[in-house]
Amino acid sequence: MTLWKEWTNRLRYLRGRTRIDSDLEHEIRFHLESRIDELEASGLSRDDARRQAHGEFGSVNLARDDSRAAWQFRWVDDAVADVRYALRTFRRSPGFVVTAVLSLALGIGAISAIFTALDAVVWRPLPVADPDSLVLLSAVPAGLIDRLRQAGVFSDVIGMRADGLSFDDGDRAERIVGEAVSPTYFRALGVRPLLGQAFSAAVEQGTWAPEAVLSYSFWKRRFGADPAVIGRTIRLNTVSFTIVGVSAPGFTGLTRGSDYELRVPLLAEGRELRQMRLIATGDWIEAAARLAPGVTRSQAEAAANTQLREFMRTAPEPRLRETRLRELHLRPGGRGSDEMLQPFHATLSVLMLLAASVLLIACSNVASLLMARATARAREIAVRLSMGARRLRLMRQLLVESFLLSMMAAVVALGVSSWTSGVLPLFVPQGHISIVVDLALNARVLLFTLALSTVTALAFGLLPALHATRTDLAAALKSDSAGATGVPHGVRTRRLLVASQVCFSILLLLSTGQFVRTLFDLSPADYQVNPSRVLLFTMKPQPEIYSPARKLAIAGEVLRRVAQLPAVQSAALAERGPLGSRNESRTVQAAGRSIDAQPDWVSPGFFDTIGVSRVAGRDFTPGDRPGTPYVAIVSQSLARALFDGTDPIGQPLQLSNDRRHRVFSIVGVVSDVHYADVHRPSEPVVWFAFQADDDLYMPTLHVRGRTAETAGLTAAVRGEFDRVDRGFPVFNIRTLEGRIEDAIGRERMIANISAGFGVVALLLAALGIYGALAYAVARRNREISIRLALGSTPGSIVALVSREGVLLAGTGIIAGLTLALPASWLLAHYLPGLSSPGWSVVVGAVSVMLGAAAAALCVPALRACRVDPVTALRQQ
Amino acid sequence: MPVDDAQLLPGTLYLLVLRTLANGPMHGYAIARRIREASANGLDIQDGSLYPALNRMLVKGWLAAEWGVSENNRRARFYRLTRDGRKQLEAETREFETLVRNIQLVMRTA
Repeated sequence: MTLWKEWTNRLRYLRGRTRIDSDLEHEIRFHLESRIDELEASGLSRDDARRQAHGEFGSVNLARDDSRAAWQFRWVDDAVADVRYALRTFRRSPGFVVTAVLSLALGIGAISAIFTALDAVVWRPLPVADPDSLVLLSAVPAGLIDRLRQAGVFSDVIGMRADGLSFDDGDRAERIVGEAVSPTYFRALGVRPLLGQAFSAAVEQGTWAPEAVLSYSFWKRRFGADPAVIGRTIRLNTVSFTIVGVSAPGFTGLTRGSDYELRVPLLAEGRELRQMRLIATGDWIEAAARLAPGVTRSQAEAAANTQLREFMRTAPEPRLRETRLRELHLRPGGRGSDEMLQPFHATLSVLMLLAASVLLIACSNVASLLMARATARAREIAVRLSMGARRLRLMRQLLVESFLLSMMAAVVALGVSSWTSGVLPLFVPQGHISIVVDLALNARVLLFTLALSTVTALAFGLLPALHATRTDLAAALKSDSAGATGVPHGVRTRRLLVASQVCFSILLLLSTGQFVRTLFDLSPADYQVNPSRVLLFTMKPQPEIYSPARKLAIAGEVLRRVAQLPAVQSAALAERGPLGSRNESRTVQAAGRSIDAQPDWVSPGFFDTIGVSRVAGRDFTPGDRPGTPYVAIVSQSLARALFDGTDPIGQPLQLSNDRRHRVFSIVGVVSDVHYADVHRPSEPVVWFAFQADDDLYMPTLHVRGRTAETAGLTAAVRGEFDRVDRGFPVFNIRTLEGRIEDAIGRERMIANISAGFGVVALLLAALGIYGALAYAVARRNREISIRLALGSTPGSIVALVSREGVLLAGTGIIAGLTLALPASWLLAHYLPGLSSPGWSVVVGAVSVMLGAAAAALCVPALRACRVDPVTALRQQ
Repeated sequence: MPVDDAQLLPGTLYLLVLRTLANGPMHGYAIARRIREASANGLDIQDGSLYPALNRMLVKGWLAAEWGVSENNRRARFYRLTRDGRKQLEAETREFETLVRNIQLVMRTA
């Protein structure tokens, strides 16, 4: 308490510094003059009075300085002095500063980039009011929401549902994802829109009106961030909606990783709008709630479950009573729901682990640089110690240097990480619902980086500071450090540091090898025929607007026109297509057996278009149309599983739970492909003729171009869509190659980033070896020159110098290989599907490390044998 | 020259200043004169060392200072005790008396 008062008083001084100083000046003058007057009055001469007064007062300067010192934060002034001194020493050794700052920047940058991603994906709370009182309920019967509202434990309960919508602004229709939310959604979350006032008061009170709140990014993308957008009318599924707000940047709803284009109010329960199924409350709905003040989550959960039991007992719909929902579980909602981003948690954790090793290597590198410097500065430090500087004071000085290096590194690192933040999203797979992660630099990242660099400074600076100030005074002052021949202080620690750098680099290289191998193992070999030439166009004709017959007719017409384009080799439709983001297996029965298979509905020419070879039988033909017998084509593994080697062609096959009890006749077999998931062995697939089915939901047009040029082809295909029907939305346009890359996006992310880390680690370790050897050569300059003078061959000198390097690298490599096994267990714990490293990876990693070590050896070794004995000896 | 700590018990100067100001606000020179008189020149305190002490006590919040006019019609800085200062004076007086009593006790029994 008193300390606090002292501090605030001092802070006041810092503000009114000049006034207090002049007060002091004035006061001392008053004292002296009063005394002089008094003495003069008692009979002394003016001069004597002055002399006596000054004598009694003592040193004016001292009184002034000590008084001023009472007000100052001493450590502030000391710190300023330390910083000045550190900057002066830095200016004298720019090479050291650049090396240290870059090493640290790479380490800190690696971590803060991964932190940014982890924060965005896992940790950062939603930008809503009081996120801690938000809870998620998952899907509940819609009728339950009103009951929960009245349970007394929630201040509000909101429902939401997201799905595709057809948006048109006068031009061609665009497929977007909209979220229908309870009218009180924005109020319950306590989010204020950037523009407008969100849903009107009437809507919030239950009178539905066609109002829409745009997301910030949709507003920027589609409306050019036009502030006059409020009040404008847009058409969603042909229904006119009025724009009443634009969400603030950063607010993307309660589903982490999503950024739906707009939000519209849900209709009251039991009502519906024919053109837009999305906004009907329906039977089930995703729900979230805000806890009433003072209510805990477990209290609310108990109350909610009482309501649920009561609701289920009296549910009007027997269907609801039969559901398995027996208990509600309230999850903390402050961070939103993370189903979309869950797959990235483990990947990012592993990347954080790798980044931490990079920083560790960087720290050890800079620590050994500092120790080398300390040896060079041993005399300076000894002199300062002998002149009475306290050890703590000197250590502080050295630590201030470390902090400065670390802070400079943090600044560079933030630049590095803002660059990597731009790289990370490239690995995020994009399906029919985009994943959006905000990786922009923010205050949390800044704060983290600052804290990290402080810890880093201690990590690499403390040991060298302790070492440097433990100098044996007499020895350091007496001996010429350059002439010392024994193993001086700190050299052993430095060797240990360098060896540990090699050790960690080997570990990083090994895991990189493991990731790259996994990537290769996963890359599907099924689509080898120029997947980069295959363009995919997904269509989303809204079922409310297009009848099944019209959808088929339009899709068929587009297909016919596209197939005739000169740049197109072949084109086909598929409801799902390979590696689409939708997959759901169905049970297939034939010959008395059944198996789970991925079903799909395709048009003739599909297999040739995506580059999957047909093994037996025929492809679908235009002749397979409604009214003709149902036909199917199966993958080899399905044929093998159901028919055991007997010819499947002509065999009947059925889908379980098929309401129409269709019997399909197998007309063809194609080779196995990874159709839904590349992470598992290729699963059985069964294809049905498009014409056989009478509806499509979200089909994809697959177009194989004649050349690798895709931009012109994309425009041409889009043109055909426009000519046939501008209200038929097309989205998610990409190549098959892009889709394959997306399927292994996480593995590509980890392999690429860890490869980057591996290169950095290798560089740092090589730098460490180089530094240690260069220093050793400089230290043993005299010894080497004597050896040369006595007739040693340059070869033997190179061997002498290399021995230390080989020893360092060898120790590190052996240590790394010893740790490799537990490390790979650790990685496999996080990433279960990881390939084992195998000998090729181990040999590769070791030889790369040895190569780097050899390169690092070269310069000091050559320098050693070029030592001119005469000059070297004369210099010393 | 700074205060010679060997001749002065720790905190004595603070105690003297607090004690002096207990009678009312005073400027620095007057405090110096009063201390000189009160201790009958027995303490070797240089006038100059009073000011760092005054400033330290300002920082601690025991004293407050404001400008006024001295008896000889000059601008002077007047110090007065704050509530914290008064409390400190009581505490230090008690401590000092205990110390003196203990010393006397030792002197008598020795």
